[in-house]
Amino acid sequence: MKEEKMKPITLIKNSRNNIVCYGSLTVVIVLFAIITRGQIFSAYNLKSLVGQMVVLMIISIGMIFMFAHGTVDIASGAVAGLCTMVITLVLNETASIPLSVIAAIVTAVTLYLFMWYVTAYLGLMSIIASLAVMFIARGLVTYILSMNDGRIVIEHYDMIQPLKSNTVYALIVMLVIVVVGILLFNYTRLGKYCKAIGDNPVSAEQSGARLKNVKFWCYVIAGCCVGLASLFLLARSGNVGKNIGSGTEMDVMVAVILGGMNLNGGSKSRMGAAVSGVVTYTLLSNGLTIAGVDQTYITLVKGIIFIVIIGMTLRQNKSVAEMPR
Amino acid sequence: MENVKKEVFFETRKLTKKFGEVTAVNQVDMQIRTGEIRGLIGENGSGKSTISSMISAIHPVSAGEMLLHGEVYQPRDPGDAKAHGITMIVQEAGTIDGLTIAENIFVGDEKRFSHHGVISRREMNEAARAALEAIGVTDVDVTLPAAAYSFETRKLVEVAKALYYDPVLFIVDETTTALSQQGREIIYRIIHELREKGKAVLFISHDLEELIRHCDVLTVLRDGKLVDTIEKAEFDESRIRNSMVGREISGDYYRNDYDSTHGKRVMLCAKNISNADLHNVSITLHEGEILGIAGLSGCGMHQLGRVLFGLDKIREGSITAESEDGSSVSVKAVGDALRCNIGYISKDRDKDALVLPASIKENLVLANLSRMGGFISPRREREYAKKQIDALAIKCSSMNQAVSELSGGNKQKVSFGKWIGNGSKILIMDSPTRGVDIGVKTTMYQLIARMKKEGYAILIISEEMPELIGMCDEIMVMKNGAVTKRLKRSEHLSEQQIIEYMI
Repeated sequence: MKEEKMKPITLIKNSRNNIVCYGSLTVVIVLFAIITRGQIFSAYNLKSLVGQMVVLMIISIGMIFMFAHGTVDIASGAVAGLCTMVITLVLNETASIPLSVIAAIVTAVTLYLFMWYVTAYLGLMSIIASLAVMFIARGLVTYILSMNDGRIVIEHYDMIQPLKSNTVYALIVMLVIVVVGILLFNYTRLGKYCKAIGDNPVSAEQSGARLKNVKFWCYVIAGCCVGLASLFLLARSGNVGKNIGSGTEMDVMVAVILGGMNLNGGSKSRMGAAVSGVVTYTLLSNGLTIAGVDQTYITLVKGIIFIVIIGMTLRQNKSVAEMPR
Repeated sequence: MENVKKEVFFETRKLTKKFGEVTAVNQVDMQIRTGEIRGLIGENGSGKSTISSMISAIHPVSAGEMLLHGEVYQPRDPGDAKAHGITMIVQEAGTIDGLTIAENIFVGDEKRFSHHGVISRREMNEAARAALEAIGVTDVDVTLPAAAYSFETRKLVEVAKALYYDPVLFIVDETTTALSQQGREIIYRIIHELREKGKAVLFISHDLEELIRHCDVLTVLRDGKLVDTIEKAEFDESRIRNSMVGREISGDYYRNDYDSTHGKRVMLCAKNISNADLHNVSITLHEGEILGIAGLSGCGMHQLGRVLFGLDKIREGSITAESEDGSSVSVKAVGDALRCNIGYISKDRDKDALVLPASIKENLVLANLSRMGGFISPRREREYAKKQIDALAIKCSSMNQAVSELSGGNKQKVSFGKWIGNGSKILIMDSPTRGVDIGVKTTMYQLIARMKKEGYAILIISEEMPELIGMCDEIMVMKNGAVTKRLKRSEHLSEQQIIEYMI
């Protein structure tokens, strides 16, 4: 109505999420540009950055759909791990990348739909369902590995190796996933219902959202992303080990929080959180290594920087008392 | 009662409260005398509750001062206010579910029953029983958790708690709206007793009639300012209304015609529906008809609204409506209702109808998403939202403002706009003017009357009988899940006639 008369303070308040979203990114870029004297932006390092972020980026885009509607999923790392195994097995059998990727996506989507079913029809908390799936996936990887003397060799590694060495593939896939993610999340019914459900499922339902249906598609999207990401995960690691993909789910969470996402979901959710968060997080890890921080305490340093960035950018404004009625 | 000397014992001087940029209470000078029931009235957001929260120390004072018995009164916290003899009961639930009734009454004051660090439960329970008896409540087991009792009983427990400390000033903040007639009577009795003992009561309510009946003096607030103080002798409904709104209320409050004709086309038809809450209810809603449903809160009328929108299931009977393409659809789920252009305005605005943290735009668009196609362009969203905001005159800083920041009346307008905008032709309104001030109420009534002329079919479910009598072509009275009477619109229809079939 009177947009031109908005006061600067309201403007800052309204765009707080944007500030968080790009604030931490700017902080990290400037910080490491200074510390590494620009080395972080060398052509070689930029390439390696892309390689490092591709898995996290694809999964995070899918996870935004989960977080937005109020589900915290912690199974993504384990499911991605299982998918790398599926890809290896199918690839060894058929020597076809499309087939093996499809098999991985089917595996991931099946597991995610299992979570969806348990949550939607048995009324279990979604995080418990994802905890169960995490153990199932992790357990399957360990079991199958034990039947193969603890190691599965990728017979056709040369076929997927280019995904690691040639960043063009990673860039194109990331770009496509990001664009599709943004389109779905911001410009379709699904994305809008998803955000409404995160805030108030009752109201969303009364406005025509079919809760189970919307959640179904969110789980499908998340599953697809995890399945696809596992291809890059495999290409980067080169073999399937017991711990492949573990910890990814936490990296995803840290990344989207750095991007300004509220893990409770709702209308303040944004795709930009995944994009800028993953870039920030990758820069953070990469920058610390280039800056010469010892690997033994890099995680500790990461933790401290994480809390500092969050403290600077994501302050809850509790100071403004709520108006009574 | 006139033998109690009335003297000013509590005073506010230029009392001001700011929430960030917003001034909620602006330099209010108010005097309260002993032995007086002081009514406080004003539209939503006029500062009534803010004043009472400052007096009871829930919110700190921004500027100005308060005087109690001629001395400066600066309570640190609600406990301190209580020690000064000022207690309050609030609109929302003020008890803690997991604690027993006795623990609830003495929460924060358990020390009273402490012997060498051990609390004597027996003493506490006895004191709690005595506190409840003092207000005439005897059928409550104080050792049961608060959750075991109804909202109404828990409110009475709060009253007992507030009165236990023998307050000199007792604040009742919009409590009666949530209570049944019976519960209200208890509150009325208590405040009159306090008055006769020479204590003072600050009574906040939206219900003008109730205030006129029980108060000695009325203070009218508007936009945080004190605009009028009226003595009982000068009480006059239209004067109070006008000073609340700040202008002559133009046009009619309710509909002024007694023309109860409507179109022939049947828009929504329910035949012999039954489920756990309803017994054999039939409804036919025509084009251009306003149908009202009256009843007590447990009579199943709210469930009827939900059933007709496909939110609750029915066991027997059928609900049919016409879909956009003209075919007859059986309404079994929300999706069916939407296809038949049915809109539903829920009773609980904040919890059910609106997505509070989301923007006005997002809320308005939400009910229309299924009609916006695959790709929803931001421009279309903006145009759509702008149209509704303009049509309903929603007061907001921008369409991106969060709905939670709006006043009650404007929230309700958003909730209306959701359904009017998406082309709904059948509107089920559950308590459409609940907690809405007179200014917005007037707008709503005018809007509903206009919608009737435009051919909308409207079902109003309401606990406010004047509203039903004033607006509806026909009123169906419900009791225990069944329809007991259908009354046609007429000048002679009175609340008594309706109540007869409700209880």
